[in-house]
Amino acid sequence: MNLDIFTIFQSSGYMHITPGMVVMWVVGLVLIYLAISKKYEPLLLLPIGFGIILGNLPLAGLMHEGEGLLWRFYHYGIQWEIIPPLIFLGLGALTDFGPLLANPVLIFLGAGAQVGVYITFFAAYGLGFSLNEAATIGIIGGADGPTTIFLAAKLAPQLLGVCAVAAYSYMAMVPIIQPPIMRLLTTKKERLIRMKKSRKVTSLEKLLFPIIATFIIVLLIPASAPLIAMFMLGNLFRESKVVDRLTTASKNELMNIVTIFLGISIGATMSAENFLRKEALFIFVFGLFAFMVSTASGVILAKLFNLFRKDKINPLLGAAGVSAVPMAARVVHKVGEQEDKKNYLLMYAMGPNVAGVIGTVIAAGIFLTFLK
Amino acid sequence: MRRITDNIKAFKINCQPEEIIQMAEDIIAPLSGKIISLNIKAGQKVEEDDEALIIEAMKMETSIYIPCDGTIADVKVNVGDEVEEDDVLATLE
Repeated sequence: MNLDIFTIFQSSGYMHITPGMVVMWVVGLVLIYLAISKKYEPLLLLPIGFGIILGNLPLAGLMHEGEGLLWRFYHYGIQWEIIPPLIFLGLGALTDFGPLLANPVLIFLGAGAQVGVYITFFAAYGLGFSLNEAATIGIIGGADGPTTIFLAAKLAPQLLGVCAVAAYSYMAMVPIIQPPIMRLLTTKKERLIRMKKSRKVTSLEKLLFPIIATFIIVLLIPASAPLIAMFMLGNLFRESKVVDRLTTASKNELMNIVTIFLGISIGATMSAENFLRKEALFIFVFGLFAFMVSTASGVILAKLFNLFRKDKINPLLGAAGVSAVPMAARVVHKVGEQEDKKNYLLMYAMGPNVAGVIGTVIAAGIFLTFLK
Repeated sequence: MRRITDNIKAFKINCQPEEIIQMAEDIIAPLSGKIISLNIKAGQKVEEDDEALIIEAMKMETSIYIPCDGTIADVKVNVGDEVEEDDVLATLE
């Protein structure tokens, strides 16, 4: 055993740093900065940022296949598709489907916003990405982190890190991305539309919804089962009102624990080889494109509906179909408030917002059905 | 307060003009949440679109505005109260 000073140097990572790694450190630090200083989705971007740094420290072997600590988190949590469904369990426990059930037509706005996913899919495919990659890029437009990760892990694991970072970054930027599109596509008169007072939703309806929805959706699109089943189970916990401990654990402790593993694993997959390719730039551009088209398609669908409806829907609600919950709903409320302070759109906007979550999962399920 | 003749506001949906001079209006919570700020008290003269109070829900502060000119008759909530959708927050006359 050679204990001299050279051995220590040689086994240290300092001798094995590449420029690519340094770039990735900067990327990680930028994400950490955005998370802490600008409060951009800190729950995800902070661990992702740190994970990127850890994944790019030479010789540390944290992502060494079969052995590395972070590799194990990634392998058992993401490759085995355990973490995204557990996040959906927590989301279901958090979600109130009341506003959606009170105005069932808003389901279509949630569906309409997914059009951006498909348009981006075709655009990415047209530009040379494979079908699997294009689908993963398209689903960014669904504005749903766990679904993006779920689909990427199954179809295009090499794009997982980039797509996840793109999805979470744009979700944080929804208040910047959406309003200009919403204002461009609507007239002032449309923005002033007051929604009719919605009906009261009974506890029984809210209790039956997750059960019936599970039957309908899982039988229709079996590939969406892992996410939908956990989502609806969480919601059932919540609406049953008899398993408070389970509901609380699902939306608090479990959700938080799983988020930790999720963030750090995603970050660690972003090695310099994976990230520093021109594809990454295209993916970021397409991701933004997907968000914008989804916002537009939701608003346009609402306007289309209004041609056939006596009780007009405020088209701004279409933008809430982009399932960044509850950010997009808040944006809709704020844009409506600017035109008429007393137009309280927030609760109405939650309808398409939560419908959009289901819509994105169904879109992912459809991709999986055709591409797997 | 006589409103019916000249003032267009008398015909707005929220304020129902009545034949008698007195008019009462409830300020209703449009969503569920927690009252984090209260700008009104009984007896206060207010105008339409004044900020009455702020409800916090879904990590967002939603301002609730006065529906029409008048005087606050009664404030039924305090800062820190949890309210449900359609709860009466205050009455106006």
